Amino acid sequence: MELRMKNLTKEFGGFTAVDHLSFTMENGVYGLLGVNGAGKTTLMKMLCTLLSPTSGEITCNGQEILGMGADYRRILGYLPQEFGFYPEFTVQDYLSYIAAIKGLRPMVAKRRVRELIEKTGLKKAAKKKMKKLSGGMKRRAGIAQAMLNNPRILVLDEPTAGLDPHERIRFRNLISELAEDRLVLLSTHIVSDVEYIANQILLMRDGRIVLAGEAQELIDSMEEGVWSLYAQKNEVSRLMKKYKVSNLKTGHDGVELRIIAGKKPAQDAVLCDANLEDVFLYYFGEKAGEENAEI
Amino acid sequence: MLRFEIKKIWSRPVNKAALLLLAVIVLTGSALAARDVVYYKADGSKISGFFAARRLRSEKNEWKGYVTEDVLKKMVKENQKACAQAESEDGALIARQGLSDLREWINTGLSGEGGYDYYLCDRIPEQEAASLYEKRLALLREEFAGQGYSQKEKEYLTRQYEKFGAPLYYGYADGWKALLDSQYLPTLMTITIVIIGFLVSGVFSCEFQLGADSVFFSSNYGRNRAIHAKIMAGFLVMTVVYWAAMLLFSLLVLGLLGFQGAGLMIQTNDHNWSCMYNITYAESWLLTMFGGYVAHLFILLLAQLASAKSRSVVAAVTIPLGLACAPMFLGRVPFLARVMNLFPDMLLRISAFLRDNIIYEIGGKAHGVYELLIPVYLLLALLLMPALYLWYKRSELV
Repeated sequence: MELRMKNLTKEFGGFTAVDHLSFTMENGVYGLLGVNGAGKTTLMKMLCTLLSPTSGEITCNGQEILGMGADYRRILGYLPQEFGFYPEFTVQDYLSYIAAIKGLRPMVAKRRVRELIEKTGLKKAAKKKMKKLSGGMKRRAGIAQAMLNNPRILVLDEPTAGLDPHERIRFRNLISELAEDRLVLLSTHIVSDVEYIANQILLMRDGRIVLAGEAQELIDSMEEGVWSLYAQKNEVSRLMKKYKVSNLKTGHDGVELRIIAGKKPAQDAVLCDANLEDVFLYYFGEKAGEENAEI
Repeated sequence: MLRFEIKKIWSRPVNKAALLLLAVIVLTGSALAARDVVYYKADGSKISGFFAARRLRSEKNEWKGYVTEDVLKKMVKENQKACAQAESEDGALIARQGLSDLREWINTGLSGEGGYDYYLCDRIPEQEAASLYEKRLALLREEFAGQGYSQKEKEYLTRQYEKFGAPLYYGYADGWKALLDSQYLPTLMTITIVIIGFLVSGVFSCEFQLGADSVFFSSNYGRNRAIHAKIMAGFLVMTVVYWAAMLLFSLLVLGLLGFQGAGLMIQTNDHNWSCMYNITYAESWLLTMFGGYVAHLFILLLAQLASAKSRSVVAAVTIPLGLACAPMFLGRVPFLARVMNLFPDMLLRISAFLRDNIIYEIGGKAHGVYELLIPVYLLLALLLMPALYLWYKRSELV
């Protein structure tokens, strides 16, 4: 399975959401990282044929996806960021309906719905109305619907947003389990999600993919070091203005800071191993605000 | 898919409540329509509905058969005899209930230019009453002469009147009259279209409203068969609810007042004496119901198209309300009346407007308004289905 984006652009009025993006993906898990407004959702909507590009094209195994129409959608599974559902439907009805519009034959649909209800841990909630489910359960129903047609291309837009840590771990494990032999594109601004499960990480900014590679490659690409140091509380403000601070931890004796800098920021600073969060901060700088630095 | 689309509609509690409301309105409407049939007992007390219909049926059926000149003479004689014998006007009314319809034929049919005369039958010579059919065309010509018809339209009206088959066959038909000649049926049709508009308002907008659009349109059938299923679900709900409401209303009214009289010409009700449509009550029922169905299809498909475009339920609810009610009021403005008579709401009120003899001259040929409206709106409704499909299919999700 090869999904290729060639010079892909999407404009809304005067705003360019995706800007001449070219990239090729094959089977594996791709983590798409970027701040809000980077163009992740627009890119994903184009990959799911929900939006047509202003220019450029997306091909699947050499064929243009909009031209493929239903043939492309047959191999596609999509969990949108804003996952809407039919509140009065039970989980079973909801999944059966999605199976029907995905073109599964009734017998296959019945079996597949049963399998996915079990796999996503929704067996006890199968007869519950969708509106009665917790946030985590709704997300699980969302991944179940995306998986119904056993898609070769699975697109997950912010799948763990709003989930508690336990649900997020469970969800990540589920995605890892489902990722075998298919192309999974996972968009998030939660760094730890992609750190654990993505084979390839794509950093997106201003509608472009600015960097792509494995987690270690991205870490190695940083031209600055990550330093750990203790400072007095009254020094923190100055250091934050001067450096990119990826973490702060307040203790009895002062504050422990994790700083990204080209040279040693203080006499007692200690060089330490960088992680993906540092990469995120390094590349997105001030745009990686509080919300985007969720862990 | 179709099953789930229908389930989406009926799973909404508010839609269940709307359907229940429609059922209550049908029951209430049929009871009110039945109550319009009244009978005065010998002691002057009034009964209505089922029991009144039973008494009237027996008295009116004494005059059942072809109303020939001899029958008209006999009726006038008996009417005048009853008048003479009665001690009061109320007494005369009670005594003449069986021949009240025939009496009104004379009053309406022979009153002429002076306007309707309630007492005409009480004083008219028998021989003059016998000329009812003979004078019909001439008197109707006088009536329509001053109504602003074009020459072609007058010729059309004359041709229609000439086709009138005299003598008329008479019998009890108060059930059909209560059903078709009252305002309850048009009112019910207006309410039905608004309620069905409410029911189908979410068919094409619910995915957008609920945020389920991305999953829908990215699925295999999301831009083809699933849209067919939506169109079919809307069509089925419109069709089933409309016909269920109309059949229930008709069966209840006719069940209470009697099915008898289906084969009588609608002109046997004096209100329809000048009607140019030479049809029976059964044919009028079919025309009214089918026309109403065409109006429902057109207006509700248009509402669904607007809701698919606007991605909101508001259009689907307001369009039926607007199209069913607004032309009714705007039509009262004299210079707008001719235009408003071409609006689809006219199809919701066929039984009430048949007697108005609305004619349009198009391309040098005159047509009754319903000869135009039914095929035109049926065609437009059929065209709206592919339009709805194509519009929805091209939806982009920003």
